[in-house]
Amino acid sequence: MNRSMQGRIELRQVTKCFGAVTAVDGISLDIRGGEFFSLLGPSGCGKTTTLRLIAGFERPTTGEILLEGVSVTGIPPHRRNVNTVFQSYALFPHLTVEENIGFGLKMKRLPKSEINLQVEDVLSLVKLTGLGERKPSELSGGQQQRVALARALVNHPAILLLDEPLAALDLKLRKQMQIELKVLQRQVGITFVYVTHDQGEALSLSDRIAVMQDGRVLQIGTPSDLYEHPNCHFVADFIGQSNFFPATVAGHREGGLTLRLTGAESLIEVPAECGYHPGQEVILAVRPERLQISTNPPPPPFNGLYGMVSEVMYLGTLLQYTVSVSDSLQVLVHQPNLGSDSTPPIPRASKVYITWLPEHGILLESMTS
Amino acid sequence: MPTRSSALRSVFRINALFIYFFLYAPILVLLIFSFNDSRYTVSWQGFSLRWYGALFQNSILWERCLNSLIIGLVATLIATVLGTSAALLLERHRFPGRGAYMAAVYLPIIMPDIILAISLSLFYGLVHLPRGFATIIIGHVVLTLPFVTIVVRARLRGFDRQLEEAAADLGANEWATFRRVTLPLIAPGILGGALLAFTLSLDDFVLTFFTKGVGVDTLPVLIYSMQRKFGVTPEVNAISSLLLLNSTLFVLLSLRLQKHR
Repeated sequence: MNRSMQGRIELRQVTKCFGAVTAVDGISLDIRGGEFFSLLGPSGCGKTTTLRLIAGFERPTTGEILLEGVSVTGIPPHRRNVNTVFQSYALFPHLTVEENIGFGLKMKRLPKSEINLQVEDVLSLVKLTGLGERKPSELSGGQQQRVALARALVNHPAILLLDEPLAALDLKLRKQMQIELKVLQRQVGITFVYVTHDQGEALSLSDRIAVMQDGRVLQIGTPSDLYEHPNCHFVADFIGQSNFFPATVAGHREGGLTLRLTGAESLIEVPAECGYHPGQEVILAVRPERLQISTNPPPPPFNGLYGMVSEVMYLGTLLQYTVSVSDSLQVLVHQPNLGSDSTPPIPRASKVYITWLPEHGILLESMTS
Repeated sequence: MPTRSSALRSVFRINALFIYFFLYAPILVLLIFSFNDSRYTVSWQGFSLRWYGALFQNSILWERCLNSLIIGLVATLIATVLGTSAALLLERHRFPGRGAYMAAVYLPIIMPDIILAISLSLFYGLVHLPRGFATIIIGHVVLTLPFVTIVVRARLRGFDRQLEEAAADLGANEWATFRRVTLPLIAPGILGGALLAFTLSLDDFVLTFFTKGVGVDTLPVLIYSMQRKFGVTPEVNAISSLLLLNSTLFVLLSLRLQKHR
């Protein structure tokens, strides 16, 4: 096989309808071999259906799916070189851990001794050595998760599909498993397609992420692409936190625009490509941690807003201020918690200046346009 | 109003007493008198196991017992395979005529045995099927199949279909998935249904009586002819008690299996 084809997944204009409902609406993806690729979106966005289309549990209504360069239309799941880790794990309750893991190899009619050897190997890979004789019901949630992973990995698939594999685990264990998953993926070097609704999980694990909504892919990019350059309101809102300021274009400047924010008087600068005209309605997004907050006035003309602290929240690693600029304009500011001695929190009801660098503004299309 | 509720309660109480009395008192009498040390059922003459002993000497009884077992086993086997297939079909697939098919499968449950018996008898006569084991077995399959279907469907309803997807995902074709995942997981339901079918077949009198040929009798038919000839003898009581014990055990076992996770 062509090296560049190994583990590659291509979706070409794939649509899947269930009756009158369109679950997946004309999706095109090109997932490279060995990539950790996440499908991210709220529930009902079509991410699980997309995964099931790749696994072969669903047939596309229209469009084409290619696995390693070969169209798999009409090829049933049991003949695809793809394995799945299910959200509910779907471990066989009547089989032991070993039998669960060895199931795929048994289907390939490998000799028993070979199966035992490989099962032992993968058990140690997922750190479950010695638990092979147990039934799934005798394991903890985290251990069951590892069995599900081992049962898929032992088959050496070109592609591993994971459907919210950590959703059932508690926070601490989930964080730990995230790290282990990432390490494992580097170790085995196969393509991971990872479905999740948890943006933090997607950001920390993925090489690339496709953000989905209503059966469509809104944006595909690396975690930093999506965080720094979201292409729409939904992505900017779904990934991380953002302040959204409705604004109108006031004029052009070198390499950007000046905006007048609705509910504020100051003019704000933002870098922009051409294609905007004065008077056009836009949305400016700024991440809360990119904002500077101070009781001292910055030297004019400054790129920012003036308001009053209406709420201070202590969040451990950071302080969150809610600043009221006007009745219709609230701003969220995150300040790193560097120790209360060096930066005492600004008290509630203080008059403050919020500033940011023009390049930290993200210009988005207005939702109405 | 306390008076009405207490009046209602005494009605329920009397009702319960009636049920216990008319349902279980005769059975209790039958059980007790099977240990009666007397030829006649009318009066108690002391405890004895002699009628049970007499059963073991009765060669006709043993032959009928064997007939019942053969018919029961064969009918159960057929009813279990067909009933399970029907359950899978009804639970897993939507097809035109599904409602009619379901009605056809379940009809024997509500149809009076005597009607079923007469229809079968007529049908056998029409197609010139010689009476014997085969005709009884066919009747028993018709009688017991719906019960297998009901029990297996209940089991299938609690079945996690994702397990079958997982099997397919791991390279199992449809047959391997069925054999290695579906079948072992619904096996308790199938076994429970089979035990129920076997019990029903062993106990059946009406269908057997109408569909049997000369010379092929089952245990219930023998009991019937014995009490017609000699009245209700302690020996009849003894066989009946054993049959009752057997049925109770099998039904209890079947219920246990249906609850099995």
